Amino acid sequence: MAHDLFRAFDQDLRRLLLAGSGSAPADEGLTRAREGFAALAPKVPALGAVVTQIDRVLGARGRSAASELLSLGALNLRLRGAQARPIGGGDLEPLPPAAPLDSSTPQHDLEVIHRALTSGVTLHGKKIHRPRVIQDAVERGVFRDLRLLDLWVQALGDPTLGDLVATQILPELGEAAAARIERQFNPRGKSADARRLRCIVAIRGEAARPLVEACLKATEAPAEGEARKGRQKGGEREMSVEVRAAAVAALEKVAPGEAEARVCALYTSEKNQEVRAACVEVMGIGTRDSTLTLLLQALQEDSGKVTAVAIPSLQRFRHPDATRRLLALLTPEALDFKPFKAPRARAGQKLTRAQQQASQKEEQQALRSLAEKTERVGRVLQVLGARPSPEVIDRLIELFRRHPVEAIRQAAGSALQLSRDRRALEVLAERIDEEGHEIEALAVWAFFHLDLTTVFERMEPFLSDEALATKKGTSVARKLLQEISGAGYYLDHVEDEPEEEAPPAGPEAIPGLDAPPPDDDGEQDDQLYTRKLTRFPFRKDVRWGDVALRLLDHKELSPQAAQILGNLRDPRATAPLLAMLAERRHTGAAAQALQRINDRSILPALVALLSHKKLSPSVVHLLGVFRAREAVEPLCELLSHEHELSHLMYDALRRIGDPGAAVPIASALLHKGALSYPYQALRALHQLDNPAALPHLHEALKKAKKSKNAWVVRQIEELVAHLERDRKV
Amino acid sequence: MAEFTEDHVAALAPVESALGDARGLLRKSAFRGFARSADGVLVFAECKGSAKEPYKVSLDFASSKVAPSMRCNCPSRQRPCKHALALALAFAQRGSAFPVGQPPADLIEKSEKLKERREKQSTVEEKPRKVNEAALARKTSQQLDALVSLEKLIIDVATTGLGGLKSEGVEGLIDQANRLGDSQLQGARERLIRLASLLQAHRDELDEEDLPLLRSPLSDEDRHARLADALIQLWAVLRRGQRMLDGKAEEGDSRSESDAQLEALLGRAWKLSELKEAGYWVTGRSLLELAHERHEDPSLERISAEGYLLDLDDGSIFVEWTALPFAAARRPDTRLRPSRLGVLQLREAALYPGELVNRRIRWNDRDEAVLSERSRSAEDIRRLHAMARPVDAAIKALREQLKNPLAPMQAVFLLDARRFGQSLWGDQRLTAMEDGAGQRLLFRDPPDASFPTSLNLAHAAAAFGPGSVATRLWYDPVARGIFGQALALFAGERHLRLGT
Repeated sequence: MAHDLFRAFDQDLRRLLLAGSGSAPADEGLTRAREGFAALAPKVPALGAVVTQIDRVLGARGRSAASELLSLGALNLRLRGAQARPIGGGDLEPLPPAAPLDSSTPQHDLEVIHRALTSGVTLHGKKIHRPRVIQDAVERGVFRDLRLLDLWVQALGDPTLGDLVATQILPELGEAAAARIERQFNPRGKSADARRLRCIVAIRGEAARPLVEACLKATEAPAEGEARKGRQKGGEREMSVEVRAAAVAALEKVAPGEAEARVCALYTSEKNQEVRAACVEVMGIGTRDSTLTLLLQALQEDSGKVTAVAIPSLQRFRHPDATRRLLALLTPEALDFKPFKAPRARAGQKLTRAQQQASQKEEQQALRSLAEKTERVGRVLQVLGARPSPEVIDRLIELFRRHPVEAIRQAAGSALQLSRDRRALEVLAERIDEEGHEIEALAVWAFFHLDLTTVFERMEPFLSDEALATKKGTSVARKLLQEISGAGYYLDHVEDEPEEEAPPAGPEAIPGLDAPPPDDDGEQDDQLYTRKLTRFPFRKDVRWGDVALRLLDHKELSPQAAQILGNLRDPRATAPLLAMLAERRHTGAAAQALQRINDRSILPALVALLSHKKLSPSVVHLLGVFRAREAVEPLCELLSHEHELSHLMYDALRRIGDPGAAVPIASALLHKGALSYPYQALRALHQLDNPAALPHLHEALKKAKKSKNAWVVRQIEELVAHLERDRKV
Repeated sequence: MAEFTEDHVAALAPVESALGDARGLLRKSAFRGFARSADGVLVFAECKGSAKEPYKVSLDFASSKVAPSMRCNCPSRQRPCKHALALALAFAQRGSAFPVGQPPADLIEKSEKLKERREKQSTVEEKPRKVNEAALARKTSQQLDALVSLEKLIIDVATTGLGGLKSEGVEGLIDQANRLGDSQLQGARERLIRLASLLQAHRDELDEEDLPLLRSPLSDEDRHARLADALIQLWAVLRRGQRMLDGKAEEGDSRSESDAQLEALLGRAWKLSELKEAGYWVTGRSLLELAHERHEDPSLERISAEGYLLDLDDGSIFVEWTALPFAAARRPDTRLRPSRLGVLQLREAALYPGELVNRRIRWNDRDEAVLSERSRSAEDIRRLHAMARPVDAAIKALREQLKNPLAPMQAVFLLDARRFGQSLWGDQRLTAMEDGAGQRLLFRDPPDASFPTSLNLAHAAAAFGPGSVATRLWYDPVARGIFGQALALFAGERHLRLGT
């Protein structure tokens, strides 16, 4: 009773504070509370003060009601505190069992992961690259923590991170996670719940079968059409397509013995393409004739979802007859098509509008038919590439060489590449002198992969003077050398290249090539090169040095030669590379190579190039990269006049880091047009941090204010404030 | 020597990416010649960088055992640089495997100089404030004026009703809060800003990628209850403040309580010397961290870190608290308290005034001799378990605190949990504990908890069984009762942290 009285009083006070104290003096709730407390006051003397205060509120007028009400509230806080009790619950039942999980993740990692999984931004509102943070946590194994468990489970619903968490984190947490995921699993949910199901299956394996079976029940139930409609009309929602497809795919793990038969049956009765695709995916583990027939059917279907899955399933399908039956699909009829040629109108012939439309329609139909035929054959070829046998290779070579349609030739070439068969690679490499991206890519790739250990020997003939003098000689040499230098396209863009397959470079390989690069700013670029060199050790072969030195004078091949010499850090190259800079010949490549060779003895020669009439931007950049103090004075001298390369000079002086350069930079800002894009100069002044630049900066600020470029004004003001700050702190 | 952990390294990183870069250096084995001096003060190595010669990188623990001076001769302007951070990470991960070596002479010299400088700094006593009576009188008068306008504002709000306050009204509260700040009434200012932020029924904007927000917004009922309480507490602060500035202490208040109220009103920044002079000083304490928490307060634009430290001698739980404005938090020279994994041996420290369950503790962190950290022993954990309290005793202590309208409506205790289970409360199934006397406590996260822990407790309790639970007891004004929020579970010798 008393408890209810206190609760009602508390609520009345809250109500009055929310609604306004104006109605407090006539409030019935307060009056009731007063009566109740007055009755209790003889037993609880503290309530006397409450009664008195309620009287004050009830007797108050105007604004005084507010202050009296607030004082009553303060009294209530005390009263409430004195009565505070723990909340009681029902009976104590045992906790659901849980697998042990520690909480030893370092605080910092925990916070970073927590942010990535919740707000997605840093303390300062900067967006976090969430997948990178989570991937890093996976790589360092700092995700096994009790405190993160719930966050990981929640993250299954995150469209960006869900798959990463489902495949790399939660399965590692085992049963500790599975129970929580199961509690959240909704069979009628969408992709997040499909992920949950996949995750439970990955953790529990065959033990997850009851859950999977429950999800499949509706899918596999006979006469489902009408019953399903009835259920939907009655308000009961069907199990979602995503969950059904995930359940079908899970059969491979939870019921491997029965999976093949069940998915085959389901494939024929099911209409949804996503579920059918899941069936086809599971069929890949099968061995039966009937399954093979279904898979071949699936390969020829119109549904992109089903055929996309049929290809890998057939590639891995273990059946002695599979390859033969696939080859049998390449009938003369199936391959009997030619490139489409639009019929030309005869001279003087004029078509009516209706004739034009009919002709267009006809062309579109013919094109569509050709595309369909090409695609169908292409799929078969893609499967065959992964099942190489002498017959398959023969057939693929024949199509690669002779089929009139280019798309089929390319598909056959890709299948030959996939087969990795030596004969296939030889056929592809024969086309090394061909232009055209697709075939050229296959030919270059095949040329190198014929034998990664004899690349130098096999390339030599292409680099001889005689070969270079031929019609296509230079073009072939260039594309091969580009791959040696690591700047090519074809070798480093094949993603499935396993790094460990790369053979050793041989005893003559130059040691220390994996060392970090000479310029911090270009570190990422150089790391990329380092990876490329490690990936294909033939690139480190010291013999390339002689070849590249010889080709450094070649009109068209010198950039590739320079790059190779830079990669090899060949000291013999410094003089010819300097000469290239002096002659303004492929200066970019020459400077990059010199940067990698990192020989500081070239600095005087490099500084001397500053007085060149046609100064190369690469020279200025290189001096900055080398942080050449001897270049400060000449660079400042050059800055004293307007110069088209001044922005590069600011940048070089910033890298060199001599605070003495600040004044010339600031004074150069006063040159005509210098304030139109002063980014490099201001950045340099900020880093050089020399207050001596302030007088010039104030002048530049005045000038900028006249030009009304608000951005520049703000940038200069910020720089001035930075330089004028109290340096004692 | 205190254990130097990766967390300590992380706290030294000037930007988040620097740590990633440092890890990258370790991954590609850029270091050679890892070594440490015989006394463990100097750690040094060479790191292959972009220059021709490798960088000489070193850590110097002469001034601090957890925040070493880091040196590197690389040209980077970011300090500490990635090379130094990488060396620190390597040392934190496998420092004991570093061979002992002779440090270079220049390093020894620098280290000695640093040590001397630190010793000099630590011996400089903080000077007590000089009181300028005239200025003080002026300030008091200004503060009283500010409180008069605050009173007017609160009465206006109560007259109109919190529910009727429009956005202009909320802006008025923020303006008034700024004026309170100008009059150095920081405590009142913070309370007013919190009230204003509760009134701005803002919801966190959903990210483009539809992040699963774990923090549920307050329900209307919760928000209304908090609003009413916040307004009443502000009123209480105002009344007490006016009396105190008039020189009239509240009847029945101890000196400690009066000082604490002064702090609540003014947000007074005590100097250690002032606390010592006033007798708020303790010596020779052994403290063990029960839990560490970080909070971000967008309304005050502040990030804070709290550590709940158990006094292994008398079982009190103190709070070590540091806070930084958002803008300062990224400056490399500013640090929030780190999580402390060992046992802190404290020579002397200030214990802030106030009759609170968790009094604030602070010490001179510039003086290395004040604090040392050792690894936890089985005996420490045994003592910890022995100090766990029954539920009733903790409730009684919280109740005393709740009677003071200015005190927080929560406190952290170490409870003796003999049995865990789950219990129905309304339609919610909550984790519950029972102590030795069968007294029960339900665990539920406060609606505005920055890191929910209830599920973690259920998991830890089921997996590791009963033990001692570091629990925040909090008063729920809607349910009119006390719930627990578990911060850590000590099961045997295992310390399971449940939140952050």
